[in-house]
Amino acid sequence: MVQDTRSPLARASGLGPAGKGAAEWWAQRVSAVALVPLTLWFVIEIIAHMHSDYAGFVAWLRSPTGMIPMVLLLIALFHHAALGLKVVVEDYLHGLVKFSALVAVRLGAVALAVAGILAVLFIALSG
Amino acid sequence: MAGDDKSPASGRRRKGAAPDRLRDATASRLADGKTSHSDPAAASPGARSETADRPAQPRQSKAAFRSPAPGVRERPLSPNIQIYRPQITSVLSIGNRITGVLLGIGGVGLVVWLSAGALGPAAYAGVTAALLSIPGQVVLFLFTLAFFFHLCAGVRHLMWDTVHGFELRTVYISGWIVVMASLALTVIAWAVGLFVMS
Amino acid sequence: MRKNLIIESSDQLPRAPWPKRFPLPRNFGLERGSRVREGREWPAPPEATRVRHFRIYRYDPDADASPRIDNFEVDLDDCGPMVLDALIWIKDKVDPTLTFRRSCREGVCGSCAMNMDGTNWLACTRFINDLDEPATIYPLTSRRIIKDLVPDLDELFAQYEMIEPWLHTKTPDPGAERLQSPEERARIDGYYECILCFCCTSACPSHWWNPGRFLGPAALLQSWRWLADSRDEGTEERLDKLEDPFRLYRCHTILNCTRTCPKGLNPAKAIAEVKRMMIERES
Repeated sequence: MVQDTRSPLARASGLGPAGKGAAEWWAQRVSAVALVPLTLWFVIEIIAHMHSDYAGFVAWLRSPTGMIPMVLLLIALFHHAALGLKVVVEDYLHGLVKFSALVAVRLGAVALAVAGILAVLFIALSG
Repeated sequence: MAGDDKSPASGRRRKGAAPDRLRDATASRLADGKTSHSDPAAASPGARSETADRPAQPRQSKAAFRSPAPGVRERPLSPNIQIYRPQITSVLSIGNRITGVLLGIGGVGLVVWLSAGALGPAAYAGVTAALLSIPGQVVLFLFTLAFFFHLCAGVRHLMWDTVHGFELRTVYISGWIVVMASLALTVIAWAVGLFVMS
Repeated sequence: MRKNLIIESSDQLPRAPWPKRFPLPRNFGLERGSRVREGREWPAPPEATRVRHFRIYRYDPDADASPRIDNFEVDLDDCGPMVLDALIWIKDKVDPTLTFRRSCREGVCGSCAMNMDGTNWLACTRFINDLDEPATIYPLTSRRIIKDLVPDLDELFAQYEMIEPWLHTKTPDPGAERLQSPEERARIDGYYECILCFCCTSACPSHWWNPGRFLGPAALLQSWRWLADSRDEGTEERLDKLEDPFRLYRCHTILNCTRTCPKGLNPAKAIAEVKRMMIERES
């Protein structure tokens, strides 16, 4: 084990302030505000369309009142989830595992958001 | 009797009373023999040679108290989550985090559902059948519960971000509202889905 | 029921009989040298009349490889009403090696901060009758232990020092007082009274997981005390120092700090004010 002979003040100061953090915190709050109506819309739509078949599902996503909120939901959801999971990873993981997990979270969120949006567009615009 | 003395001289801060003056905390700590400012000269030369014979002994120097030299045992860490009492503050907070992670997994499920829809009626029917099965419905119920909990707790967080609701009484009342509202909303949503829509 | 469910000030004790701990193994995640084992029994002197049991965390750096819990019997008719009185009685009558910090015995110096029955408080203002039977006494949560109930607070004081808790001025010394209106002075009420006992920082789970990088409620409450002080002219530099995903933004508003403050202060609110100031300056 490497001996740490730094003074307590040096250890507390660490590498200095990163100079950012407020913007991320704000983005998390803004996406949360967006998600309140969008997720409630989604839950209500699911309950309302519970018994419709595949044709009904496609018709719902083809209409502007289905497609537009769904795309907005996907963007807001994965942005909020990526920021939230980033914070969770930073809290509990340290070292190389942390950096790998951060990359995985960011790339996974982007991939899922793009896949979801493209799936919606595919359903809405094909056939 | 000794055990019954509940005089106000215990120094508790009463509502409306003048706040206690900030004493020089460092002065009282140094008087108390705070060890991190230990004086190397205090250990007599005789005592030092005596301790040098004993193995793995923390020496009377600032460096040894701060960090273990090779061969010196590190100080133990006092227990934290193992003994700290769960309170509505920490329980709802960890609940918000756990439900958040579960909803993240649910986001994956949402994309799977949409992709199945994009792949065609057969894939969509497969996913729908899985969702309508008994285990699927149980998962969906728990998921709805997690969603409403995270929604209500999230709104409580947004309230705090406007610097409102930090008095302990409000913290507790809003906490219980979050618990009851998330249960109620889950039950209402499922009741509407199962009974009204069929 | 309402008295149990709604806590109105931090000196109200939790009354629910369970859960007393999170459902985790006793030594969950602790490294080998920190795992707690059962220690010895210390019976009260034979003339004891009203006996209470205390389970107290012990660690002797000269002898022990790991900490232990000793079981003490305390004669309540022979000692004062507070937990600190019981600890002093044990040291006088039963085991003189029991080690703890203490000074004012009236809740203003912050020396005797420790964890009693799962929550952090000052031993001198906690009544013995408010504790369970047997009462459990641990040192301040998640700190390196020097001996018995004495934690190493160097790291916490260094974090406090880092936020530069003194008046920063740029304008020259006016020769007389730097003036402040009563309304401006009222802005630091509820923050200047902190006694730096560190009950709050030790109670914060976020500080448990990131102790070196997250400043913790005590240091952040003091940083707000200086940001809110109208005489201070170093606001820009103070906020620059806090703009970091760890130093300030590891606070997830868990609120254990406000729940446990023995002086009834509100670190969570102070931190929310700092966050608001940070957003205000960039929008």
